[in-house]
Amino acid sequence: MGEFSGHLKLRAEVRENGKTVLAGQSFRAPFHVGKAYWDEEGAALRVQVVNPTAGILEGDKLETEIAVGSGAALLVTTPSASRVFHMRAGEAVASQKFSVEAGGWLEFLPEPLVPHDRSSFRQVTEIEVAEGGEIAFADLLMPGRIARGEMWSWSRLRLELSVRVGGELILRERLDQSGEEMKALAKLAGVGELKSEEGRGKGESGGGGVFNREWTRMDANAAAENGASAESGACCFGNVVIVSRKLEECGAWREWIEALHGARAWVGVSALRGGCGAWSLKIVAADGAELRRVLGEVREILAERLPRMRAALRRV
Amino acid sequence: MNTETSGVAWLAGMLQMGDTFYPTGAYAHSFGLEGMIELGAVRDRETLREFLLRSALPALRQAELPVVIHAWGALGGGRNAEVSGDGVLDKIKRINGISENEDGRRAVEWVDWRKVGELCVLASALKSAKEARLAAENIGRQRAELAAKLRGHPLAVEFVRWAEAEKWPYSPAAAAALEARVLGAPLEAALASVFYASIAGLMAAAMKLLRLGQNGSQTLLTEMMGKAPEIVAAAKKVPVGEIGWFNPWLDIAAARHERAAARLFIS
Repeated sequence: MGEFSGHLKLRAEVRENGKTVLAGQSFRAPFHVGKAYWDEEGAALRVQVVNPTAGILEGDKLETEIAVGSGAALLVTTPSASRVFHMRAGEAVASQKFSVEAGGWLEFLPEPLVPHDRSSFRQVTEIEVAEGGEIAFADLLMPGRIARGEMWSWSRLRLELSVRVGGELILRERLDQSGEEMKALAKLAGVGELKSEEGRGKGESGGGGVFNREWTRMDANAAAENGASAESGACCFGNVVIVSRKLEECGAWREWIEALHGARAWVGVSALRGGCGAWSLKIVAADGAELRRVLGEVREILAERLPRMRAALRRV
Repeated sequence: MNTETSGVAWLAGMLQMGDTFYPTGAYAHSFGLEGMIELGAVRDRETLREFLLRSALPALRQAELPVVIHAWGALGGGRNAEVSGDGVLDKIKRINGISENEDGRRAVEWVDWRKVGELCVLASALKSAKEARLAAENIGRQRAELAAKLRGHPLAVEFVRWAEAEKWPYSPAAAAALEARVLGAPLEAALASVFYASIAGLMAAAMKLLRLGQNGSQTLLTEMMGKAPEIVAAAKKVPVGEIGWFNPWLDIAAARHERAAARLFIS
């Protein structure tokens, strides 16, 4: 089985005409960078990072460094999910570093990570935002190959995230869970336990929680269309960090995002430490389509204050 | 002071600081539990038990207790993360042969204040929900300031001075380490105290929020206390770089709770 020690390095800078260019780029398999496009609507340079291999394999060591200079605006996406394949004994490690200088903007919105059965993956993400810089960073996670019914069966998943603004640590998150442990947490939240009509109102202990209290026939049909069923026990995660002085004050945007919370997605927004306009947005959705829908609405809402988010997430 | 009487002194002090009568304000917080109940995840004794096993204990193992351990080490000059039967003052006196009056001042000289500050910031950065973070900081502040005010110990006074000067966020875990150092209590006592206070605090909140009787809560509390040795042993192996644990559902519940129209607890 081939092992990669791949890297991706991008540096975005602004030119005199106000447009952003990639002043530096270097990549090695399994990374490949597609042609960059200037998005007029969002006034940002859109770059798509492709993994032309099947996915992430045992022993892979992946390094990503994306830097955005003052005045530059960059949107980085991926065209498809990152699959982490079955591993016999070892693990794969990904190191991601993002830096944004004052006046710079970076939106990083890749497709979800899909950890397969018996995979072991560690992702270490470090974000450094200079005072006056802006970032919208998203990390999406699927429970596995939902359509195949393979969920929560990875061996170990470590997702470590540190965010510094102006040199000050404002967020440290560390998810370190086996698939079984995550499944137990999901079950606690009510995932995968469809509450029967008979059980309602009789004080039965099972079946409350996120996707069941208000689960409707329509929800079940929608889930089935997406390859999952109400009983499948699936849920998908979105972990978003946004830093912008334009979001210092609570406003209608927060209420609108909170209103996305409902029967098929939990949504929570809260201000991070430091008083620097940094926010944590967390989403747990019933399936990938719902996660994508909520994220799309979040981008629309935030684009009122952060117009760079009007840049299209065009997939090739 | 002989060994026996000094043991009684720190134990009495820890009982005082761990008592609900001690004005830390912790009674006003459910530490995310009310949010989990509001969203229907925790509904009864069985789901509360699952919450404790799947969320509260791992968070203690991977976040709260390791901060206590590393803060304890930093407050003793970084000399130990090992469990010792002696407090730092006993060590200093033994090594330097200094008098009882001087020991507090000498203790301050041993402290790795830079690391203490980093741990306070880290403890704050671990909490993404604002209200949960502010709740913890308020409790940590109250504990540290009380240690300085009631004990007048130079270590506690200096801790508060540093925190104010450097604008450290106060941390209950760091404050627990400080209290133990001030009292001359062993690390294990501090860890057991934090473990008990965390679980008992959740249980006390649960009794107000759920249909949960005295016996039902005490049997659950007893079961969780039985897990303390393995959780503490695991926490001792967590390096600073691996501190942190999160439950996405709990974070969402905590974020939504801070904007709830009606609620019993602050967090």
